Parts: sequence; C-alpha cells; structure tokens
Amino acid sequence: MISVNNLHFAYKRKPVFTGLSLQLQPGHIYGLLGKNGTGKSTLLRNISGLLFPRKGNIEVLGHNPAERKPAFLEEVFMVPEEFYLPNVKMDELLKYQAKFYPKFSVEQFNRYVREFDIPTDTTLQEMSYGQKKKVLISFGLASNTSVLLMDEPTNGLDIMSKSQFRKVMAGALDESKCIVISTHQVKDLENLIDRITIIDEGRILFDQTTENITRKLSFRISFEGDDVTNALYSESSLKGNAIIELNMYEEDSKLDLEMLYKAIVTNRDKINAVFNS
Amino acid sequence: MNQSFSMNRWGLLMGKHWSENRKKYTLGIIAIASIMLLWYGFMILVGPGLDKDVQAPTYFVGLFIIGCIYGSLLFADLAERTRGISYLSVPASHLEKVLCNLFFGVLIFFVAYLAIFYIVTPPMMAISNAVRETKWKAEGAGYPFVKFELVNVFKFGKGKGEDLFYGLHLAYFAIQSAFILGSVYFSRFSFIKTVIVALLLWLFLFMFVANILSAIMPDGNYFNGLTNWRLMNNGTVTNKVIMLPGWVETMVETLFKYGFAPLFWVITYFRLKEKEI
Repeated sequence: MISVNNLHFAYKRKPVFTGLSLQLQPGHIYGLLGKNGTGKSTLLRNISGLLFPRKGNIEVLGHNPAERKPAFLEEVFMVPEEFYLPNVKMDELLKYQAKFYPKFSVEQFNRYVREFDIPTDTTLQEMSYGQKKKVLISFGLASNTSVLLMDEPTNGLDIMSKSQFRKVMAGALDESKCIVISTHQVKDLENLIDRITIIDEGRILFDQTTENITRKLSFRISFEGDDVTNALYSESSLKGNAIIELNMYEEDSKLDLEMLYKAIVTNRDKINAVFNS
Repeated sequence: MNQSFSMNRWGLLMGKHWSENRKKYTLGIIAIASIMLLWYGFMILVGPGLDKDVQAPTYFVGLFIIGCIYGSLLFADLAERTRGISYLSVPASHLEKVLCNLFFGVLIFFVAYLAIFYIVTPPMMAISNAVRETKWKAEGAGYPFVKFELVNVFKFGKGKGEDLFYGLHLAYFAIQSAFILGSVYFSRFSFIKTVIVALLLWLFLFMFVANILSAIMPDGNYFNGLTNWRLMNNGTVTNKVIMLPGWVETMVETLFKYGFAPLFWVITYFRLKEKEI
C-alpha cells in the first residue's frame, strides 16, 4: 500500500533521510515513534506528497505522491500537527469539503462529532484548538480514505479527549485502511497501534508488530536483583523495578510502549538481536 | 475521472473557495467602494469636480494598485504551512486550483471592480455636477454650464491614442499576472519582492537594449521603435535604416500586448506543481 524505497531527503543542506526504506500494509495502525526532529513529520509529508524525495521513491496505492493527482489525494488524508480549518460552520465544511472524498460518510462524521462532544452550532474558528483538532480527526476518519496519516494527533487534546480519541480510533480501522500515527506521546497510543516503527537519525531503528513484541519480550515489575541484572532494560519505579526481559515462557504481559522506546533508544542492538534471532 | 481537469471537481473547488472567502470578498468590495467614495468626496470638495480626467485615473490607478495587491495575495495560503498543507491536500488537480484562483482573482475581481466603479461613480458625478451648478449659478457666470459625463473606461476617445484604455487594461492583466506568479514564488512579502524583481528585470532589459545591443550594432540609434536601427556616419544621420522583418515586430508587439499574462499564468501552474510545504 505504501512503499518507501531508499528515501533521501534534506532540508537545504541538512539531511533528514539517507536511504530510508519502509513498507506499510493495509489493515494496520502504525505507530511512528522517534525523538523530536528525527523526521517523523517529514516522512508523513513525503508520503502525502507535500514534500518530494531528493532521491529514491515513494509509492502510495500505485501513485507517485509528488504528482498530487486527485485520485491520490482522494485516498490519502493527513491530519497535521499544526493545521488550518476555514472559518465556516460545520455544515458548510461538510457541504463544500466532504464531496471531494468519494467514500465520505456524513453519518460517521456525525457519530464522531457526538463521541468527541464537539459543539455544532459555532463556526470552526470560534472553537478551541482541541475542538478544532477533533473536527479534523472526525473529518479524516469519516473520509474513509485508504491512507490516514496523523501527525501528533493527541497534542492539544485534554485527558477526556485523548480517551475519546483512542475509542474512536479503535473502531475506525478496517482491512482496507492503513493508518499511520506519528507521535512522541507513546502512552496515548499504547493499546491502539499494532505495529511500531521507530525512526532515529533518518534510519529505521526498530520495526515490529506489537504481537511480535509481546511474544518475544516480557514487561513486568520485579523486586529481584538478578532480574534487574539480566534484564534487557530496567528502570526503577515506586512499585519496584520495571524490566523488559526475554519472554522465555511465552507469558502474556502488557506492552509498555514508553519503556520499550527507551530500551530501543538506549540499547538498540540488544533489543534488535532478540528479534533477529 | 480525468486527473487534469474535471468540471465537477472544479465546480466543487469554486464552491469551497467561495464559502471560505465570501466574507473577505464582501468586506473587500465595501472597502473599495468606501475608498472610491472618500476619494470622490475629496475631489468634489477641493478639486474641480469629477470630470473624465479624474474618473479615468481613479479607475486605472485603483485597478492597478488593488488588483496587483490582490494578485499578490492570491496564493497567500502557500506562504503559511498550515494553510498550504490544507490547500495542497484538497483532492483537485493543480490545473483546477490555478483556474479557480484565476477565476476569482482575475475575472471576478475585474468584473467586481468595474461594477463598483460604475455603481459609485454616477451618483458621485451627479453630486459633483450639482455642486458645480450651484456654484455656477451663484457666480452668475456668463459661460454655459457643461455637465461632466461618465467616462467609458474602454474607450479613450477618437484619433491618436484612442486605444490607450485598451492598452492600459492589457498592461494591467500582464502586471497583475506577474504579481500572481510572485505569490506562488515568494513565501513572504510577495508584493514587495515581486516589485523588486520586476524592477530588476526591467532594468536588465533596459541595460540590454541600451548597452549590449547598441554595442553590437553599427554606429546608429533606435528609430521609430525597437525594430528599426538608423545608421549614422560620424554622428551624422544617414538615410539608411536596418529593419527587422515585419513579422518580428508584430510578434514582439503581440507578445507584449497579449503574451505576458497567459505566460505568467502558465508559469504559475508549473510553479504550483513543484511547490513543497
């Protein structure tokens, strides 16, 4: 569905990607993680055709995104971190924008608006940042595009809204869609994403399904000194030592995305060795 | 569906553009009418009244200044990342986007400006005539009272220079198209930057014609236009003239009259295609 091959990209003389390759398939919610400035947003903008690769190529649903053909744009919706919505009422937004997306569902949009508790009687400019963002997310989901790209979607959302976001997103995926969520707020998406891709310095640092991660790694709290010593990663907490260790006995454990992220950033080779073995 | 131009998509784009900008356009129309009223009021109070020598310059100076400022804002969305992403992500082709902006920025603006001029000018001219007539009666002047008439902005008069207004309109469309192109090229201060670039190009052209071409040509000077070169002999004018073929003169004249606006619109289209945000 999305194929990124040997992507090279630079802002003037500052290189961001030097040979990044990535394949994304439908039916998954991908979590694109990484530190600030590692190129997460740049990658999404390359995929959506807003930036063009300097070398290498990107193919989305058989289209070259850089051509920005209507057939491509109808199938790709981007929720940017900083976004613009026109100063119109919601019904006008639907009247004039929704028709551009052949699979747009007004019923779905209204359902998301209700779930997000967005007021419908004000213009978009009168809404708060969080409300506007929820309108854009609702619109993006109701567009039913095959590719939905979300850049830091939970930024600016309050606690209730983040919970609503997770609920809405959980019901939004189907076999024909590919959703890519870029974030550094990993806790917000813990139970949502089913494949984690970590980018650092323009390279893929880690790329695994959550199923594979919990099959090979175990996340738990331990009070034993030996466990900490033998762990792939550990950090002390008020409850004891949180550790990541090899899942030798295929036990079920709850994926701690934040800890996994820190483990990969600090001890990448050790973690990757587990998945390559 | 056609990926370059679809009437249905273009119609949707026009509807979207209108719904998002109608308040701005309405305010703009009110502002232009108000400025024109104030100016006419000023001229009635301190000037000789609204004769054709006031009406025509008012029309053309306003058209050039407001039209060029508006032209330089036509693609202002691209100057701001959030608006630019929203604009480029709309599922319509680059051609449809350019044609939509040209429709509103060139055609609708011109028609609206013309309409404002012919709505505001007649009543103000009537007031001007009434004021003058009152003065004329009070002065008991021995000359007949001549009412000022409404100017036809498409017809200067008869005889020499009768196509002046026609030429000014052509020049306006050419210059405005340069500002439209500037609005795609320059992210910030596009109006000022376009003015600077245009002046530099004009200076270059002037230097090229005055210095470089003159240096290549034999002793002489331009005569009756830029396509005739009158030879001189030791500072004395001869009766020998080097003339470029008639079709070259026609071509250059046609290019200057009709070529620049479409040329700049086409470049705007290609520039939009390669725009990255």
